[in-house]
Amino acid sequence: MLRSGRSVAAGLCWGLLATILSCDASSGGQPKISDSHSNRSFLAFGESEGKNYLFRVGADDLRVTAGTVASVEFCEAASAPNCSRIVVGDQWGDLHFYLSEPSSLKLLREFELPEGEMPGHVWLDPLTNLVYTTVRPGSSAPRQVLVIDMQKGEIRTRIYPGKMGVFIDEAGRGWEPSAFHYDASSRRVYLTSDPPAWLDVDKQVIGGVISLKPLELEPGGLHLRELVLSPRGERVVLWQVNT
Amino acid sequence: MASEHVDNRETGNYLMRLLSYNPKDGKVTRLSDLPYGVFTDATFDATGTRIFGVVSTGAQGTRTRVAIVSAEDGKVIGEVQDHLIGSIIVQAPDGKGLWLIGGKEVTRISDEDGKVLGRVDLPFRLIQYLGTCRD
Repeated sequence: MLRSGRSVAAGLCWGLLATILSCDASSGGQPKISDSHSNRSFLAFGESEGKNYLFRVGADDLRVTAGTVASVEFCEAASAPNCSRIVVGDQWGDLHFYLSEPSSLKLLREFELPEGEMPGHVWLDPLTNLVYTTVRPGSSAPRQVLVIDMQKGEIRTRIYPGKMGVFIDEAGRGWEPSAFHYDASSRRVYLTSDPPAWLDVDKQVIGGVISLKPLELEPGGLHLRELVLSPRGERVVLWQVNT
Repeated sequence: MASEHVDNRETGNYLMRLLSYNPKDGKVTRLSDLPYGVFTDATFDATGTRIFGVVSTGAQGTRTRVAIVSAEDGKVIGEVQDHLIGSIIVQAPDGKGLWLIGGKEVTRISDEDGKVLGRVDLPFRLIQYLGTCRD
């Protein structure tokens, strides 16, 4: 049972979700991606007729109720043993670990973050099964990255990026990284923080900070918006905008 | 890879700067300054030589363009019209071209020239793309 004090409705909702995830594989006559030329599919969070769902579109057009989902990461490493696993972070501070099977999405494990901590963006390491999630412990505290072993049900480590100046703006406020970008060839995860940085996945520490200072048009004039990795990780392209 | 919609083009005060980071030596170089508001999403082609960026330039729901940018020098190689703003762009699961997913549809485009190859309706409005299943 997860977080005490949570509303009964919330518990019922997740119980219902788990039930549906494990048994509902009906296509319901939904349109298929008919030009995909394969049985492969994609997973998406979407809205239909006022309700939110987790959709698996393509081979089976699986639809499951997921009205409480706040953040989801689908492990998509083709060669990894855990490529059909999904981790979901919800708005009550819990993580849920699913197995994507041919006809269902089965709930395997759940993990409750410490009181007051909410998952932001999540990423699942396909080789170790460790879950990385950004969290903001308090309204004024800097963001952190938690590394969680969901098999053991424990926090493996906390990464405090502020020690290296990452995630902290000039006023000392936390700056939440907005995304994880994984490069399998180097076992790095790039963070869309400002300044951007990368994590050494095997050491579970910040491996480096990408300094953009010499390239700014004027101090504070340009902000990192996003980054994208080349297919083999030999290049990272970032874009800044003058917001 | 969602990012906030910023339509700097409307105000004429727009700048999007592309930078390239080399993980081997840690150097960052400026590629180009592009006259776009912002990429709402972008992806490399399969060879790693070009970037397909969904360009944010108009009101929500309007069709806009995909910019094809050289990853070598950041210059715009081409633009393709008639795509959904705010879409995410990913490699097609079967490796044939790219998918633009946004609103309530999926558009398949060529990863050579961005030409539209097909379009399929979705039974929902996309909130967040989660990933490609590789069964």
